[in-house]
Amino acid sequence: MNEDLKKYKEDLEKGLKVPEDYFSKKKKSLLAIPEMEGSDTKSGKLIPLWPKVLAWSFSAAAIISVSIFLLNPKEKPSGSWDGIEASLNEIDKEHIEDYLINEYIYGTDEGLLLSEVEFEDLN
Amino acid sequence: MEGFNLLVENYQERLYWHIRKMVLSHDDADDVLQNTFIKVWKALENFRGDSKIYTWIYRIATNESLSHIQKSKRTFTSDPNSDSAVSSQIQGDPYFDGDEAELFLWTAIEQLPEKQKTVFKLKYFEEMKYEDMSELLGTSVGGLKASYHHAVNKVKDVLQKQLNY
Repeated sequence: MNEDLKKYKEDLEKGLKVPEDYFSKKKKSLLAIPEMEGSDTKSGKLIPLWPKVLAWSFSAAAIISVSIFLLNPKEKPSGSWDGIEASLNEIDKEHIEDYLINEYIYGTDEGLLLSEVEFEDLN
Repeated sequence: MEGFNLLVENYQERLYWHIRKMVLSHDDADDVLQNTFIKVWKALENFRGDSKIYTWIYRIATNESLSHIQKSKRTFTSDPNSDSAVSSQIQGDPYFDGDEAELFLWTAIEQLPEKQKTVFKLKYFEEMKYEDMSELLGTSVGGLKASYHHAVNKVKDVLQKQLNY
């Protein structure tokens, strides 16, 4: 170090003062950092994650439910052959008879119908 | 947490004086010291032990001081480096108790260009090796030596003019 300047170093440092009891008071404030920062950061890192986890869970559950509803292999669209067969099974025999008799009286496809239906079926 | 308490016990005063010489005002030094220990606390679990713990904290304190200086430079309304601005800032600090000669010297140091001032303070007050300074500031050793040389000449100039040195 430059010797000419060296002699001033101590004086320069001595000119800087601190308030009375500064270091003992400051120590208390510094020792409180873990408590202050701990609650804000360490546990704070976990708390904000919970709403995110819940939101993600709800979103995932909603997406899965909608997917199951839309893509369920058992639920065929109503226009499919299986769907038509199922709804035909639910029709009463009487409805079929009425339909055929009406068709016979008023309809135009009687030839076809009569050839398909035996007399016993109409009773 | 006990480890952190030990760090406070052992190093708060040493760090305060290092920071104080960097930022000069007591209030600023107080803020920077607080921020330094907050950073130490947050980063303590990631301290890898590659360097000595004091070297690590010292580096944090230096970086905090430098970024504080940068921030206060940005918020200064008038020219922060003008002679009167610097000396009134030093005199305005109730915890500066130097005589006229010390005021002149501090003013001369504070008026140095930013890089020269940092290098001067680290070398003059802290007697930091150029190699360590180079790592800390990311500047070549040659560049640091040149900065220090210019800084010393400027401070000596002030001494000659003001104190008939």
